[in-house]
Amino acid sequence: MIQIVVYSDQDILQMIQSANSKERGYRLLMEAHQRPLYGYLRRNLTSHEDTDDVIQLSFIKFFRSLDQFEGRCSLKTWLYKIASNECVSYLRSKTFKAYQTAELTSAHETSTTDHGQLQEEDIQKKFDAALQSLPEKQKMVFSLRYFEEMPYSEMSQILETSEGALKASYHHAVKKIQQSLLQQES
Amino acid sequence: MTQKYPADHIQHELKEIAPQWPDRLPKSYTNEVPSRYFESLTEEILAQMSIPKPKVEALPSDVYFEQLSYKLLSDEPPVKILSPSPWKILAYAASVLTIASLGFYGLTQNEPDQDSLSGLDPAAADYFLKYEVPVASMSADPVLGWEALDQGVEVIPEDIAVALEGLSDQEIQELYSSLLDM
Repeated sequence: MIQIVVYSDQDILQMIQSANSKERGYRLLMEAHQRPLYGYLRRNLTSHEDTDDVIQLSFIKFFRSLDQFEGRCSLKTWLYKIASNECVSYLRSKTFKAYQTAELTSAHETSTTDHGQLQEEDIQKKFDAALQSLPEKQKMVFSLRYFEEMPYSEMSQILETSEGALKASYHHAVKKIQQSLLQQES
Repeated sequence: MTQKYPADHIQHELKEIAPQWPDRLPKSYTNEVPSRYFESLTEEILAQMSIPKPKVEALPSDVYFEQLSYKLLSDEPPVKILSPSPWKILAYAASVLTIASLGFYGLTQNEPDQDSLSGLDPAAADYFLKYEVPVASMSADPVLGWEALDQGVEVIPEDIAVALEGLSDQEIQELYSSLLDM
């Protein structure tokens, strides 16, 4: 019979505090969170290369800040909070903004010059373009809610915003995406 | 009672705008990224956290290049996403060289499947299906990758030697070890 062991945040923190089990603790955290975190960051940053850079920075800062972790939220929430801050810093860099503008222009040109039946890839591109047109914070709210299906209470801790404001932000994001798709169709 | 997820809600609204909209959008980009990426990401971060790696035995350069060439031309999975950049270039070079050795050119920039591989040499088709060569990640490299491959550019071992320039002996040995682990 296979026994599945589930480690609590406290178990993992104890592993990391011991020299003999530090690597195991890091590995457990990475195995649990790297794929979903990659998906979250990739939707906000659009390219694999940018996501690779930010996810590395996020994990390094996360591990290095664990001694300041007071247990007032889960380790996952703490990690996503750090990653969200890293993502915002990256998005605000001048280089990335220039790159993003070029990418969006390209995506829009592709979608408006093809008058054939919508293909899945084309739809995905239009959706990505609509998503990328959202303001930074709204994009994060939409990603956490739509793709991660995260409760507003957890999102509130990560983004340091009230649940009411998050609900309003998500509602506006959905409307903007709809408008963007309608404009691309017309 | 079935829980109504936010994704279902917006999916319904989007369908009203565009009836051709697929039933469910891909929820994650992780399908585009091979498992090997996450393995190398873990190792990269552990290395940055100063956790010592197993020691790699030194090899004389002639033995190293002989074994590297053999490795690149064998039927082992060719791609491992590595960083920093020179390692990526080398991994791409290794992949393109291996593909070129099978005499296969012009695969589209899609994840390989039975349809896109129909009509190919069976050995090449098996190769792509078996290892699910991560085309999307390779195409990101402007110099080596599918664009070069589509244009019929062959990557020769000298390109690999160029990619190795500037790496320390230890880095080369670690890289060699990584290739053996592919």
